[in-house]
Amino acid sequence: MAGDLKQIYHLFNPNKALQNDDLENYYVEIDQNEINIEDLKTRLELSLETHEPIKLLFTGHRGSGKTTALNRLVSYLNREMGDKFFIVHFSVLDLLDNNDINYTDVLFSILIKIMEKCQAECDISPSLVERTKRWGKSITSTEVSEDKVVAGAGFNLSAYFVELLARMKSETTTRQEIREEIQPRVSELINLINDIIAEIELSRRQVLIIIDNLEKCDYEKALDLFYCHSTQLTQPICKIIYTFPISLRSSNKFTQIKMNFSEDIIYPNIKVHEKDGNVKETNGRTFMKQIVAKRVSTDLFTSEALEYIIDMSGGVIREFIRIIRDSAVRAIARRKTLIDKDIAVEVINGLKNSYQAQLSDEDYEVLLNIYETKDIKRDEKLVGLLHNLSVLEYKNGRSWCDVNPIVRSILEEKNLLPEK
Amino acid sequence: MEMEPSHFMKVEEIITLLDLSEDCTIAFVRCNEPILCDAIYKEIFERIHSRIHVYNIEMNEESTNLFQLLEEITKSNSYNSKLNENKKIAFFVFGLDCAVKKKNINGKSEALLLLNMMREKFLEIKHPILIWINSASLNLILEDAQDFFSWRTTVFEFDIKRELTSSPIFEFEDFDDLDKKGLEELVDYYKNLIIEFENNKLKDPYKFAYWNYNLGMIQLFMGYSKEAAKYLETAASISSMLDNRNLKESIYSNLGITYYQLGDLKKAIEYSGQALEIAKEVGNKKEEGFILKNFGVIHAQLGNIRKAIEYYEQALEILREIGDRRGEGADLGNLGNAYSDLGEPRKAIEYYEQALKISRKIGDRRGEGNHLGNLGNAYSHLGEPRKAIEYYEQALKISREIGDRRGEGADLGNLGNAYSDLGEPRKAIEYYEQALKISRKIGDRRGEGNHLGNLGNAYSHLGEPRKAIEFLKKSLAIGKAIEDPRIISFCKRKLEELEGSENYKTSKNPPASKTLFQAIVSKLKSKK
Repeated sequence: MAGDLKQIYHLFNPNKALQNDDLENYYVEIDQNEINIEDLKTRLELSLETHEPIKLLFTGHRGSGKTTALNRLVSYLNREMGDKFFIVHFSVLDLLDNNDINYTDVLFSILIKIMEKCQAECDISPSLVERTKRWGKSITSTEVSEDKVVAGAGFNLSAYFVELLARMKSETTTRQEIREEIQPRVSELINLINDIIAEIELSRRQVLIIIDNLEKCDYEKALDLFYCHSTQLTQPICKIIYTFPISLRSSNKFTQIKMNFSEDIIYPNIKVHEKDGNVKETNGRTFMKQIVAKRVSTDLFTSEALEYIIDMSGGVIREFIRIIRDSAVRAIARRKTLIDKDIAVEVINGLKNSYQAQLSDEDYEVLLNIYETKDIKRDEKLVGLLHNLSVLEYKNGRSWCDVNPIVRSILEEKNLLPEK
Repeated sequence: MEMEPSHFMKVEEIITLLDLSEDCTIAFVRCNEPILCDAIYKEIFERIHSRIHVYNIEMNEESTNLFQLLEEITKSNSYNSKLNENKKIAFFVFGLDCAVKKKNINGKSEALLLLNMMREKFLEIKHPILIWINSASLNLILEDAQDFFSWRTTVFEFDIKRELTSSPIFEFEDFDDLDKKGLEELVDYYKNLIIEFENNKLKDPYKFAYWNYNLGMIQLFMGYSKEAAKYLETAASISSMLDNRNLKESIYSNLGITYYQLGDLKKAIEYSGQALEIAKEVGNKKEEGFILKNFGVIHAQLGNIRKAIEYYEQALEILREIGDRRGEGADLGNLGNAYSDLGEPRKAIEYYEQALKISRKIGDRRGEGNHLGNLGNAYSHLGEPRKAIEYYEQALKISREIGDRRGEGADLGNLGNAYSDLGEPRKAIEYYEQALKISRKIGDRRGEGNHLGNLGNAYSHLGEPRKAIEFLKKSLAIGKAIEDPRIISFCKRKLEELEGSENYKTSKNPPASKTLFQAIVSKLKSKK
């Protein structure tokens, strides 16, 4: 039986989103989320007819399953509509340092990723290759060694850029230098991207770019990206899905940000209890049990423990997975054969400390207000709390939010909650 | 001829002075170009003759006693009846430039000695006296009639911008690195894309709008404003059905610039206004600042300098807010230009120096070059061509360093102008020829027209009117082709001076100026 607990450790990994086979085997379709993804698919299909280069924001809490959902979407589109879409799907984390993302970085990585895919699948006209090469040379005095980029038929354009990007990722000085060189030449960069898109679309497939993990940067950087530079980010003439931090939706700058995008699609957290606090057997809870069941036997948990873990996760899938993994580790260490409530409580208590460390005095007031009203509104104070998961957003019909269950228990302990 | 905004400002001041004056007021109009004098006279006359009666007094080598001439008039019947009617009177004095030539045995100018000696008597004339002279006479007066001169209220100085300067109000980031061949290839590229998409029956209006916009921008960059307008209008009409707000804003904003170049300022304002609306809607502060700057340039062109300054200051606030230091520098440069137009070159220099400082701080070499060039222009206006040359040379160095061909051409042109001012037309021609070569290479038609015009001007100063006419005609042809009103009027005016032919006459000349005009023509003839 202990062997099975070890299995939990391996199958519940909070760092890896499901992909490929795992996706097939373990994914649980959650109704509410499926509806939103269906909406997204419909929107994309409609835009094929009009050639509209729609720009979509894809939002969800950290750990809600966004990456997994996007992976599924891409699988679906490649499978069912591979002749209609030319999909370029990447995560900024592959290419850049996520503490330091700048709008020029994003545009530059779009260029590189499109070219990479193009190299494999279609022809770019020599004049465009020439222009791109010239632009590339103009942005850096850093010489990229020729042997890395000359392959067989001559100058391998995308390899050249990938090498450059690798340097940018690792060397801060190179990154700054190159950014400063790109900045005055951004218009040219956007023109190049658009011209490559045009040449691709001649083949009758329309380009769709999906950029994952944009929501991971901090508030300041996110604002700079989406508020100060959304004009540039939305200039490529093709369909783009940008992941977007849920916290920014509560900022008073969101109205302005939204003007540059066609739609914003939310990938919500799973609802594990009703707004009024009642813990009914909601569909959400069923799904969460299914998530476990698809991977391991639910007998590895006492039912009390599982319910408790579901509660305290607040419906955030990654948190759920992390708590389970952590519990498995402790259970193994204690030579137990299953996860019981005591273990779960211990794990949760451990998490409380890290949550408490994120809170400042002003935050408590805001938290109490939310605890009482469950109201989500445009409030700058809310932004940080959403970002660090102290407050969670849900949606059934309308959006509402609630204090993270773990944070709620912190408030309880401090006797801050009003008498019921 | 067309007067410039700075000229209108000064005319305002003269008229104010004439209206206010209730006693003997002495003022000078210093202008070296007869044609400009004509225009100024006409403008002033038109605006005041209904309430002020103007007496034109003609001096010459035989008639050197100004006071006597004035006295004669005050004794006349017409004068006295006017006084009885309580009509205001003003005296305009012409021909002093000729009169000063008469020297006495000591080699001093009779006319000026008389002015100085009889200074007190002038107080008897209880009206404003406006004396029209050129620089040479002014210098003589400073030497030989200091006492009389010290009683003046003002010297109003008028100069024609003898150089044609291109004043870019916008920066092209996209196409700077391309030369003429590269630009033409790009035009073909986009045209091909349009054709291929049409052939494949791919109805993508978003891309068509974008390609037409790009084609328009390339034309604009090369100086073909008319073609640019066509493409941009097409882009605008395709976009009217779409929700591509950012592209729309760019289209309208650049249509504003295009119509400014074409001289259709009404449309320029209209389109810029539409662009501004969108920029505000989507909260694009950078564009907002940029468009406000452009409004300033348009109003400056209309002669509303103070309104232009208002716009520049609004733009400055926004640009500072968003920390757009490059934009800030460019705007400070525009404020400098405005004060230059107002005839306050020292204030202009203050602004240019601020702008220069910023561009150096942020390492904006192109901006640095621009502002050095502007400083050169300011010192040129101050009448310090040597200092101007210093600045132009610095600017040229930078343009060459950063490979900014347009900038290089402009700097070479400015150096030509400065040497022209110094009275070294041969050297000026050398520079103009270099500038011309570049503008042809990069496909800058407007620049080409400017430099041809300036070459014509230089050859006329050199005393080679035939060559001058040749160049001016080439310049005029380009001016007409690209519909640039400044080039057209400059060339017409110069050709009129040289050929004195009926074809180019622009307006009726009031009687006083005929002598000036003839004087100039005879001077030219005697030079041969």
